[in-house]
Amino acid sequence: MNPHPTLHKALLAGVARVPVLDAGASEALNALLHNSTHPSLLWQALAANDLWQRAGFQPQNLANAAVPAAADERACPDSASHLLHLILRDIQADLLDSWLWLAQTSGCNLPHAFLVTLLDMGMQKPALRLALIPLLDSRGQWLVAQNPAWAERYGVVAEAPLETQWQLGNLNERCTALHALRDLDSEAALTTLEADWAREPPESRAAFVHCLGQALSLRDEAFLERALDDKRKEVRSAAQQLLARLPDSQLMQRCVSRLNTLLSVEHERGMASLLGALVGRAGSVVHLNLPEQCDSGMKRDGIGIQAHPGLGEKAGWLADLIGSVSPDHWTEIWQLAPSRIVGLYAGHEFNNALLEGLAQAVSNALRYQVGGNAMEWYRALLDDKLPGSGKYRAKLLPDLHQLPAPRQEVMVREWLTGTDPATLELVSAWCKQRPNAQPLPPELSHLLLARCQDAMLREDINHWNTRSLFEVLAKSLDVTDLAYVEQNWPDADWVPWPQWRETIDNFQETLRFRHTMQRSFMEHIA
Amino acid sequence: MIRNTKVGEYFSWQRAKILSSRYQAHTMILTAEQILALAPDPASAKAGSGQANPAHWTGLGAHEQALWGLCQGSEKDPYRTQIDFSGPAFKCTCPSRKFPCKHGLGLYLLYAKQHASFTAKDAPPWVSDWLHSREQRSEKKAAEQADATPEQLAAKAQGAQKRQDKRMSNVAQGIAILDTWLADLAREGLAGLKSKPAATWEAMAARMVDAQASGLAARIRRAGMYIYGSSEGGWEIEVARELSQLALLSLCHQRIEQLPEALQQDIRGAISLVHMQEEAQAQAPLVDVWQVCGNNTQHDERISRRACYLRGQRSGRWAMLLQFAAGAQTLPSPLLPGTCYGGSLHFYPSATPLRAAFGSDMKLIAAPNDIGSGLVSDSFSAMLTDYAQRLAANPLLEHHPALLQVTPHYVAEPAPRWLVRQDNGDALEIDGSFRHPWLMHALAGGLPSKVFGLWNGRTLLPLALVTAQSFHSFDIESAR
Repeated sequence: MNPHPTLHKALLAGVARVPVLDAGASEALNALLHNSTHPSLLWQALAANDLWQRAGFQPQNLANAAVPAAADERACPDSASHLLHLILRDIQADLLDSWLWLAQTSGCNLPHAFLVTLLDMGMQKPALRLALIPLLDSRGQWLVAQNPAWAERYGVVAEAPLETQWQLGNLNERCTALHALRDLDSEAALTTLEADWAREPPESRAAFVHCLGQALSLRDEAFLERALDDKRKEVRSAAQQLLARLPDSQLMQRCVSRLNTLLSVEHERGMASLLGALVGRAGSVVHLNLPEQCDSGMKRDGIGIQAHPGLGEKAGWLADLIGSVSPDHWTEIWQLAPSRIVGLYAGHEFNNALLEGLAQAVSNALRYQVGGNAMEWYRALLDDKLPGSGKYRAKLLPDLHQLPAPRQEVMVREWLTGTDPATLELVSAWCKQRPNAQPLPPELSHLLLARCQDAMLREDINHWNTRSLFEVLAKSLDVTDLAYVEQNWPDADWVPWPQWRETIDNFQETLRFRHTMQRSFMEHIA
Repeated sequence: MIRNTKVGEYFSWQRAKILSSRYQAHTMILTAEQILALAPDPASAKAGSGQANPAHWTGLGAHEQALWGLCQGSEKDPYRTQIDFSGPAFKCTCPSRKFPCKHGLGLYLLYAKQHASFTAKDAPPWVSDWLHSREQRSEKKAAEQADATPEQLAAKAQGAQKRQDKRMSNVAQGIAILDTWLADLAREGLAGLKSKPAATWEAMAARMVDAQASGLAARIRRAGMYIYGSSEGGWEIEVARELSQLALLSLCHQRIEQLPEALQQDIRGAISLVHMQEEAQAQAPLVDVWQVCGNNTQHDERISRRACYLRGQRSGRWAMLLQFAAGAQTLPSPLLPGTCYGGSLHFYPSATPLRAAFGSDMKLIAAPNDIGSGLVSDSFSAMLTDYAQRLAANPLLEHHPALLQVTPHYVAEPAPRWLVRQDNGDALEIDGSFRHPWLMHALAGGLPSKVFGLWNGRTLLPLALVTAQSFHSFDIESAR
């Protein structure tokens, strides 16, 4: 209703102050209202106005139609779309990642009916957003471009030049710009950062130092050395971590020189060596003196900053020192294989400190160093005969994903064929950390399920832990052929079945859902 | 005169039976999405999905009319769950207060994905007894209406008239109070209302409820919400609209005897919100294939209300079924957009008949594969002319269903707003309460699509978007 100004005025101020003289609707209505003073005439005039306007409504005219979305050819199969509908209705909601992965590998786009729901979900979840972007077809991109909030998050709008983003963006955008600049020209990017460094607030400084991890080289060392003297702890810590990654950095050299006075290996010779070999003892001995103090130079290099639960103060300093040195340094100066050095460390009184520091150094090497013996070190530390190996495995597990997929699978297969009871939890953690929803290969899936079924029969795994174990497996195992999932379960009269039934039913149901999901996309390909 | 009416009704019933029997052979099996849409809440949908596993069931069976199964729950005896396809109607012996319960949903979902598990073909006695009792109830209801003697009908009409007179007497007293209140408001104006307590409006609404004028009470509460529920400008226009409608109703009530009989029904209905189903059942049925086009669900603290809109495929008539739930109760399962019902509808008497009740022969039937093609859309000019005529016949009319071939159109500047545009450039504003404009835009892709919605003379409230293959109901989206 759009009342006449006189009516509107009377409505707000009251007819006692503003009498209704002109309803603005028609002459007949005005005549009816003329000289009338009854207050209810205001309402009747408004009602008549409203009716008059509604009955005589005239649509507005939009001369120009909006540009429609271009036609798409990669339609999502109906059956897959139905399954996505169930997932979004919170039925097997955890399988959204799997659905998106299957859609991407099958070359399908997002069904238009779910675009808005998924785009809204992705606004708060960066990982989901990354999974959605490749699945946006021309309809999706057309839609995203019209909504400013989506356009910004999904990167459909044309991006400003990197320099402009660096100068004017928020912290996230500036970090993204610095990453990109490092990719283009690492030295120029460093110069850009140095130019603005003094004006940057501490939070930004720490974030920018982390960005230098992209295309890190010895050319960044001078800047990072200066950052070791920054007032902010986070900035110093970020610089220490980066310098520890550079094999020939001054920081690493300083740590090596400190360790040279503390740690040495004496190779037994002659008869002693022979006797040692006969009784199964290593032919070398590690001599170790713990650091007496942590001076300001050591603190500057990050020694003693990190907490090490279960280690004494001095043992913690030792672990930090070893963690800052490339593991290949020891093979070079002692002329021993990684497995031999790990064995020597394991037999030492301070084995925890030595191995923890070594695990940190191996992790750095695996992630950032090209070449070298990082893989050998890794395998040696993951040996299940090593005392407390579970601890190092858990620490090093995230690094396993740095290896090519076939290498990872070989290692997991080795674990599964071993006898370590902690293997299942370790494999479960590995499955959880896998970066995408790609299922495991069939052979590994069969082996893993068989191992779980065996452990279930022997009840050597805690039932309450297995709930999460089977939940993880349900999302990871191969579902091309589900015959193996129905086999090798205990007989129906197995006494503990009531405790397991719900877990196993859910496990099988999830696998069946995934199987149906996989087939729904294969229909499209066929 | 009564005899002639009875004869006319008898022939209408016979025609209804003959026509509706054609639909009985084509039982409609719902899809998983449609079954889940019947769930009273998302938790039930999830729990029902968990039950859709053969491991939970024994004695599964189905024939063309129903399906059944036994589900072991927490009690000693398994729950007996059964579904009549024609409603669909659910029955389960579990103690859940939700309807349909998770077992009913799970059984239907299992049937939708694994027909083969339902091996039994002969219904056990507990299923056949239930189906038989449903048929008996339906026949008894129809027989009661058809076999009533003129004396019984006259006595019934006399009782209804007595109740109506009593109600209208109470209403007249309430309206006298309302007139005084409205006159005071007009005298003082609306500008100072925000500084006055909201309790005044609630108290006036309560007085209208006492006067058996619930329709007036609802409008007063709604006006109060516009004043106190928003800090945005322009609220006085919405309030003025409600108050002017109250004044119009008051005026209509004063002159009700001078108005046409059908309009009198509209006025009484708008004042008291009471419509007797018997009055609808007394009307001649209209037999057709009724396609469900959309739902509009509204909740307030006292009552939940769902309007389900249908369109006759042959007659082209619009119809509306209302469902209610009081307090914390959940609404009955909605009619699913895209599904078709075959049988008779009885329209409530009105100057612009829309609200209707299902006849006893109404059954869910199989919808055509290209469900959208059977629906003919209107042009803006036809829709606006039709609306104006209805408004002339019934000035109390608020909104009317419309199916339009339009393109959703987003205008970003100066303030974001949504419209639907016809090919000739004419455009209608989308109602500000519509929550899914982006979804509608995504589905249409900037191309003309059939949009079903409610037109109130100013804005369109979309309720569904229709493609050749499917209905996308925005009301279900709102309910999630």
